[in-house]
Amino acid sequence: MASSKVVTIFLVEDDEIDVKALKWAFDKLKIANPLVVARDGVEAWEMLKDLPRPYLIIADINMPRMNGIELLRKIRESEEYRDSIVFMLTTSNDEQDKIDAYNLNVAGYMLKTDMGTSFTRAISLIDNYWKVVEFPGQE
Amino acid sequence: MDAIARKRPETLEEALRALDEAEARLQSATKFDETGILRLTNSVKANEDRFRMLAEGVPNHLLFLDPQLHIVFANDEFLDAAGWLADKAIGLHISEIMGAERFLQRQPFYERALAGETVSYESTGAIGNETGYFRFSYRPSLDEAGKVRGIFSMATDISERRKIELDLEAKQAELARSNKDLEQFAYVASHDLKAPLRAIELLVQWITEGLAGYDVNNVQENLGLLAKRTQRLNRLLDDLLAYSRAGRKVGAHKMTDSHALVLDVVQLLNPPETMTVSIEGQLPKFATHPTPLETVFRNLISNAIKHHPGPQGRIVVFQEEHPDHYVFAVEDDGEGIPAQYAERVFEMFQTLKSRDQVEGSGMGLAIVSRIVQWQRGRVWFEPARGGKGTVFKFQWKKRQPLAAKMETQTWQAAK
Repeated sequence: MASSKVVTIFLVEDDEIDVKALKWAFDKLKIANPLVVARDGVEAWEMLKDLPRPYLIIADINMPRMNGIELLRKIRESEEYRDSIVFMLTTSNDEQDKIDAYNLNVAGYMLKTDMGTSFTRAISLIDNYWKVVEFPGQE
Repeated sequence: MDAIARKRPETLEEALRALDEAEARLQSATKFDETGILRLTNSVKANEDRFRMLAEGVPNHLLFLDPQLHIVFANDEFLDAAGWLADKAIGLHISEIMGAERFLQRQPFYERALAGETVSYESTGAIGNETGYFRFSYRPSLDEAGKVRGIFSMATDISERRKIELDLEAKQAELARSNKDLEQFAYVASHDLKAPLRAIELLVQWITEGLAGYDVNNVQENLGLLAKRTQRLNRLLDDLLAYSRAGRKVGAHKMTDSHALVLDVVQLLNPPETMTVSIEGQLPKFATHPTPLETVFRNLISNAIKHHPGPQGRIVVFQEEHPDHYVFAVEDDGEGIPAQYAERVFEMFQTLKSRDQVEGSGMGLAIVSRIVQWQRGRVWFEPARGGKGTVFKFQWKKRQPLAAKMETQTWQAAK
């Protein structure tokens, strides 16, 4: 098994119902990883310094103050967080958003379209991801 | 003369005859020269007449200036437009006719022409008391030695063309803006309008599960959330419609007491008792479109109330008068807005707090911005005068573009 330490899920999401939905998907898939939530890019950026490693970021795009793409750019430009693994989980089906996200080395761009199945599928993909993939800075 | 030179006279008679002949030849020669000169003079006069006919016949302003820029010749078209009589204008320095300010603008072009260059440029110029737009051309006139002996100046009125150009530019800018709006709309519609819909879908799913007995306790709460999201969606759609109408359906243009208008807005908003909204000084009474002005005030004042962290708040409305517009200001003593959001706050669906924290469509300031731009004003925010809070300011033209347009049409019809 790749992860010896438990991976913290850092969710950056301004909509409380989407946060609930994610928790609901976690319950359904019986995922017990610690979950930390920030309400927009600005708050997420401030919380990053106290976030226990290893972590995995799931970010929405449309958010107040600093959106997901802006946050991702800030992360990639920084010395200490540039190696972060970031997934986009968003309603934006905009081609430009996808191009921007992948140019900023996003691990995956996922659409929250119909919540029933696609959301659970996305979470189970992320769940498998951290179980299989090696994270940087792990012994 | 050859004959005289070759044949030396031998008698006095011969000599006298030769002298007579010479005189006759001389006379005929002089006569010939007189006709020549007369012909030459006539030809010059004809040329000048032709030049004058040409100069007076063209619809352009023509001038001939000497190297010191005194007027040597001016056609009637120019004199009429400048409001001078020919006998007064000839000999004057050009700056005395166009005024020192215009002369300063044009001096560099005159200097280039005096240095031998043909110069053309476009600029504003006067037609009587009105300003038009002209194409100027200065052509140096050279003497036999190649020295500049003056400038031939021609001005063509291109006001009509310029007006069409400006109209076209304005329409292009409007089109670009409307395309950008449409693009932004397509983007936000796919997120901001879909977000509550998706939430509703989810909540229904959770409620169904709850009713099936999995999580009965949450049914009540989820129903509450469902109602809230439905309202949010409704509000987003309403505000989107308001935005699309902003600056298009402007309503009547009439004498408006902006002081009373603001008092009405405050009364309708019915702020909580902990919030005082007051007007500093007197707001003006002027002819304008009251409906869009009221929309702007309503959005700014309701924002100030809604986003105030409380418990006690003070909101002040005031104005500054400028030559062609008023600057109205709505000042609060709230949290303030960091300067980095100067542009973002005016964009569609942008909020600085999540909608779950402060319910709002994020359309209020976008609507304000659109209305203010429609009447070619500007809206912005600054830190409040007291240091704590924000003051939103917007320019409101004393003469509205729509009214101005109507006047132009009447004027054209009268013409």
